Formats: sequence, C-alpha cells, structure tokens
Amino acid sequence: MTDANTDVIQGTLDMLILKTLSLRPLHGFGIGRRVEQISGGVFKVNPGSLLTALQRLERAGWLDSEWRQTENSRKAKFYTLTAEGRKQLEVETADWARRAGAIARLLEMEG
Amino acid sequence: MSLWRQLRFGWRGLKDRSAREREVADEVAQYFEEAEAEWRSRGLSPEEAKKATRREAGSMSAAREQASEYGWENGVTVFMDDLKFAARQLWKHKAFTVTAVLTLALGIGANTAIFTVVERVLLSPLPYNNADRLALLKTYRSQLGRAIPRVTGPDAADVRDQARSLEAVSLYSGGNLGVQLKDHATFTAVTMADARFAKVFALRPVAGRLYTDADAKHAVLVSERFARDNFGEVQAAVGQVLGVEGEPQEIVGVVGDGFDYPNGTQVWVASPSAPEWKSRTGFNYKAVALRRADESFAGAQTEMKTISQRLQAAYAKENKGKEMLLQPLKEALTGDSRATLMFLWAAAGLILLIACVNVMHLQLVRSMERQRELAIRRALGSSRWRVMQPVFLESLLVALIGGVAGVLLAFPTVRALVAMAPKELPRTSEIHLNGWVLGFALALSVVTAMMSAMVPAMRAAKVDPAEALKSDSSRGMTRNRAGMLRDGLVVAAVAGTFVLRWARVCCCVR
Repeated sequence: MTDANTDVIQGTLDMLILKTLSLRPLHGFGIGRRVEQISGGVFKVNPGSLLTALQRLERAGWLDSEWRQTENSRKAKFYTLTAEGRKQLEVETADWARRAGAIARLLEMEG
Repeated sequence: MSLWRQLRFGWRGLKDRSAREREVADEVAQYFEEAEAEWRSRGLSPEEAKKATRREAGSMSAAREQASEYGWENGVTVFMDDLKFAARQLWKHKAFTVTAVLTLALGIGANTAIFTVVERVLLSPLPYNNADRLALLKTYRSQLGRAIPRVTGPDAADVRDQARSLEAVSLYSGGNLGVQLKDHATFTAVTMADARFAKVFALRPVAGRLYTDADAKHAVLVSERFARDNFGEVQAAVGQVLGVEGEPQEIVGVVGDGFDYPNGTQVWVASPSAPEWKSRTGFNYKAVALRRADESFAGAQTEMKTISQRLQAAYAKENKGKEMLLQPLKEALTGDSRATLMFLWAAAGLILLIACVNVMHLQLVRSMERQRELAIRRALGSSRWRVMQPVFLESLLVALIGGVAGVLLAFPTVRALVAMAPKELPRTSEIHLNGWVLGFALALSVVTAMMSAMVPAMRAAKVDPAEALKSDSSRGMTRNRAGMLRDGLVVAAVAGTFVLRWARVCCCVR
C-alpha cells in the first residue's frame, strides 16, 4: 500500500475531502477540482491518491457513496458526508487549528 | 462500526473481485472524462485535452492500479494466489510431492501414535478425584533389596491408624471372580475393599448408598456399567442380591463416572475394617492412601519411616528390614512403562527429524530447479518476502497434507500399539486420539514445515537474478532429463534411508 511516509499529507487530504463534502455531495473529480480551485492551486490532488483516500474514508464510516447521473448525464460515483464524518471533520478542524496556531506562534517568536 | 464496514467492504471485494475492479475502473474513467471535458470547455481540441489531462493527472492505468490496491483484502488475494500457485506447482511435480508427503506422513504418524499413548499414560492426570494426592502403600524389604507393591494386613492397619499425614487408607484385594446373578453368572473383576475405599477416592454413588464397616461381607457396590449390563437400569440394581464365590451379597449402591479402580473392577465387596489375614509376613493386601491436602508428599513419606521404625522395634522378628513406603498412585500405575514409552517417543522424534532433513533435501533440489523462476521474479522487482512466500507455502502445504495423512495413519498405528502393548501397560483402555493429540500433530506439521522450508526459502531470497539467469546451464532439452535423473536419485536415496531407519528403530524397540 502507498500510505507509508505520507502521514501528514494524508491527514490533510482527509480533512480537505471532508470539508469539501460538507458543502454538498460530489464525485471524485469534483472533489479534486474544488480542492484545487479553493486552495488557489496550492494543492494538486492526483486521482490515484484521491480515490484511495475516498475508499479509506468510506470504510471508516465517514462517507457514503452512490452511483448517480451527473449534469452531463454520465454516471458517476457521488460521495456524501455521514453524520460521523461531520463529527470527524470537527475533530480534525479543531486539531488542525490547534497545531497551526502553535506553529504560527513559534514562527512569530522567531520573527 | 468502522471495523464492521472494513470487513464488509473488504469481503465484498473478495467475493467479487472483478466487480470491484470494474467499479474502480469506471470511477477512474469518469474522472478522466470530466477532466478532459473541462480542458475542452477551455477551448482545447479533444487531442490536446487528452494530453493535458495526462500531463496533469498521470496515466489512467496508474490511477486504477493505485486505487484498487487499497484494502486488507488485497493481502488475502495475494496470499490465495500464492497458495493456488503452490498447489499447482506441487501438482506438477508429483514425484516430489508424493515422496515428501509420504515421508512426512510416516514421521508425523509415528509421532502422533506414540504421543497418543504417552499423553494418556504419562501426561494426563488419573481420572479420579484428588488424583495428585493418591498414593499406593508399598513395602520395602531389605532381604529382597526392593519394594513390592503389596502390604501385610496388620502393617497396613497400623499405618492407617497411626499416620496423621494421611486422610484415609484403604486395604483391598481381589481379582477376577465368578459373580452369580439371578439367571446367569459372569466372570468379572471383583475387589474386596474396606469402607474407607470410598473415602480415599471420594466416591459418590449415582444410586443407593456407600457401604459402611457394619455392612462387611454382605454388601457390594457395583459400577454403572455393571448395573446397566445386568439390570438394565442403574436404579434397578439397588437392593438386588448377587453371589460372589457363592456368598450372597446385597447391592447397596452404584458407582458412576466410569470409576473402575483397580484393574477394571466392576464389583466392590465390603470387607471388614480389621484385616482378616493377621500375619505380618503374608503380603495379602494392597493399600491406597489419600494424603491430607495440607501435607506434602515428602512429609507423609517421613512419617512412614517413623511408623516403620516403630513397627520394627515392636515386631523385631517379622518386621526386620521392612519399611513402608508411599508412591504416587500415577507413578505406581505407569511404573516401568515410563522408560519404554520415553524411549519410543525419542525414537519417533528422531524419525521425524530424519524425515524433515530428507524433505529439506528434496526442497533444495526443487529450489535448484526453480532458481530461474525465482530469479525472474526477483528481476521483475518482487520483494524478498514475496519470493519466499510461495516457497514457504509450498512447504506448509506439503507438511499439512503430510500431517493429515499422518493422523490418518496414526489411527491404525495406535490400535496396533495398544494391541501389541504388554499387559502391564496401564490405562490402555483409555487410549484414543483426542484434541490434544490432534493439536500436537498440527503443531508438529507446522514446525516441520518451517524447518524443512527454512533453508530453501532463504536460498530463494538470496538468488541473484543476473547470476542465476547467466549460469543456468540446465536449459532446453537437457533440462528435463537432468532434472528427472536428479529427482529419481534423490527419491531413491530418501526412500532408502527412511526404510532403513524405520526398520532399525522397530528392531531396537523389539
């Protein structure tokens, strides 16, 4: 499996996916595109890692999936955030804020 | 919750692997279609859109591969594939498989059979209450220079009355006697035992009651089996009268739990508390004792010594050089068979060791043959473990098949061993294959597999692709011939040594 040595990135990717899906259900490409757009191209998501992460989150019980029609009448797998996923997003957001705050304070101290 | 989902999703993937692959492929395809559509909407031609997507997201097949690699079920799939491959390899090399399996089956079968006997006779506790506190009273006589497992009536009665470390001592005697019932007679094991006998073995009747000293010479206990065989029902036996050597006795109770001490006794006749044989030189009784729970065996033994000295002083003539000893009942019952069984076990262990070494040699020959295949696997980027796993699995399969065949072989072997066993071998009626023994055989198979696979698997891991591919001289037409010859030689050699060793061990045992 490819999750070795990508702990930080993986954790962040999970949070970004959960956040994106908290607005509305999306399919894989939609999620990737949203993450890229909103981050202003800072984050680029490669389809292999994205689809792997989606499977992982679904198995963890944070997402549900369903094959549905898209606007251009093509079947796509849409992912929805579950109640548990919403809770997880809160946990991860809080965690992230705590860490980011700590890092920011450390950097300020230096500067 | 999430573990349950993990299991469920993984199981779905396992059950229908192609469905999962199709779904992943479909999702990846949709992803790429959307990406291309987006590029086209920005004004690129279909060709250019395709290229741009590829540049940005990589190839579809790579994405597919990465996405379908996720999940625990993939490890299972790889394992199953390797297992299937190993099974196919074994099927293809029948000479090797049959020889290895038979060798191991003989080794494991012999060990399982011996272990069955050892487990029952030596390892498992006696099937009596307080089994570890039971002891047989023996008499050491300096004139003989050894202890005999019998006692004289008065000596044993003195021990019974004086020993504080023993909770109860019972004197008994007996043998096979004719027992007369209302309409027929049977010849069965009968024991004359005093009322303390039931106390020593903590017997509880399943029907009726135990006998007391007051019942001496006119009451008997019978076993559950005896009651069923002769009266149909346990309850029906109570109150019946039977004759032992012509003396009428009333059945007062029935003893359950398959209790049949000593020597398969079915009828216990109440004998008086004071021994009828008053001679201190006639060893007419046997005696069993129950040690107090708060008393050590050594403590009890010391007390026997003290009592013996007292008796020697009191009866200078009859008790000269006589000493009372205790021996744990289990030891007394297993007696001399211990050494023989241990020897047999060691011999069987040696056979298995030889079998292992032989199978290892066979495996080595196989691994020499498959060096090319392993080298190619290594060259294609398989990890060490991935190369070793099929080799290990092959050995494991061989050992497990050998183990199953060995257990099947053990059934008749155990029967033959029991039939051949000397009369003195105790507890033979209890001997049969059980869970412990099967567990032993399984463990043995796995250990065997590990032992016989270690060297070949390590060699497999060490294969240097370049060297192996270059130096493989046995290619093309000659390869098969050379291989067959080698196989044949090895098979003959292994079979030969094995038969010889087996025969030798058998001779030794005789």
